[in-house]
Amino acid sequence: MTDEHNLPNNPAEDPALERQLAGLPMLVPGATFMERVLRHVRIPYPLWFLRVRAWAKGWVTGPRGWGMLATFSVVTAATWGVALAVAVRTRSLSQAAIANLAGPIWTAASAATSAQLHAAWTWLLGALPATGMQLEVLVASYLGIAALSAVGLWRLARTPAHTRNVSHVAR
Amino acid sequence: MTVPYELADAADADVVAWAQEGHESAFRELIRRYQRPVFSLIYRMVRDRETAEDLAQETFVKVLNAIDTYRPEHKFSSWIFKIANNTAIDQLRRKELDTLSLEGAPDAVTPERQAATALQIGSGGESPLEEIEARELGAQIEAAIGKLRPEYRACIILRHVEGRPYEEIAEILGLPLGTVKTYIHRARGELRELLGPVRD
Repeated sequence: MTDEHNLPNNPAEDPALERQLAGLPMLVPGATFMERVLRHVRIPYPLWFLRVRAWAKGWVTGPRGWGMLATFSVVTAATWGVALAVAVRTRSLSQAAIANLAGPIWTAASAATSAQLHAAWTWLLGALPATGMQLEVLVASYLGIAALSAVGLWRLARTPAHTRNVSHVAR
Repeated sequence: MTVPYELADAADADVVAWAQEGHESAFRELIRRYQRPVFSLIYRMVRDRETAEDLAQETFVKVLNAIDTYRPEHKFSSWIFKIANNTAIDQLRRKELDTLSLEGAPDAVTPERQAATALQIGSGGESPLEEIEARELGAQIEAAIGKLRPEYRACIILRHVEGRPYEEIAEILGLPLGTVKTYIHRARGELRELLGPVRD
């Protein structure tokens, strides 16, 4: 037998006391309470946004992302190539105009790149003796870093281990 | 889920579902619905206005930031009152606030601080004399509630001020139903003793 069975279940055991308690007013927080709360609340993104984001994320991340990147690059190059060919064919853009436009840009870009490379190489050869480092060591370090980068890129691009050879499971 | 035409008339579960979809208006509606009951419960537990506002804010932030985890099998009111009560109990454990004063919090030593922490009890539309009597009686009751043990205090506030059924109080406080009834029974007895001269 518990206390529960010995107690009156009727809440109106003392009507006067209960009336007095029920008469206590609801208390009101400050006028800015709601804004104070909302400043600290992270309102979730709308469902449609989450769905679009998940869809887009599925396409641009993971192994499929590299395919997407390659496809996007090829499609972009092809689109521009076709647009250029159409423009030339319809004579709205003459070959001379293209040469006039592209020639100076190409020349300027080539000259700037050559100048920068030459300046960097000259600085490097000048600065190398001061560091006490042999040119061979520098080249070897550079190649090592390049090799490490290649390995890292390969590991990043390959299919993750846990998703390999599972197509038969999916079926 | 379709937008409720009038959020104020929608059930709690619908408003919560609407909030889970990321609609700020639903968050505002939940705060509007529960700010007074939650604040009142916490205020009567800790008896300090500034602390109560901070704890009520903490309660709402906890609840609304975890709105995705709410399951409609439970009442939203039980959930928010449970968090409010736990927040208040944690505060009481951190800092003992033993005496209630209608003129302000126990630690209020300056007039400004007393004004900032004083209970604000609204007028019920009585005559000036009745209003003064009601305020005095209200103050006595508040004082008496403040002298109860925190567990009794939570039970009596939820039962008689918030009007929650025994079963919901048991769920909110995480206590067996029999224990809740015992606490309320004893709390009533203590209140009768404390209020004896006033009630006559």
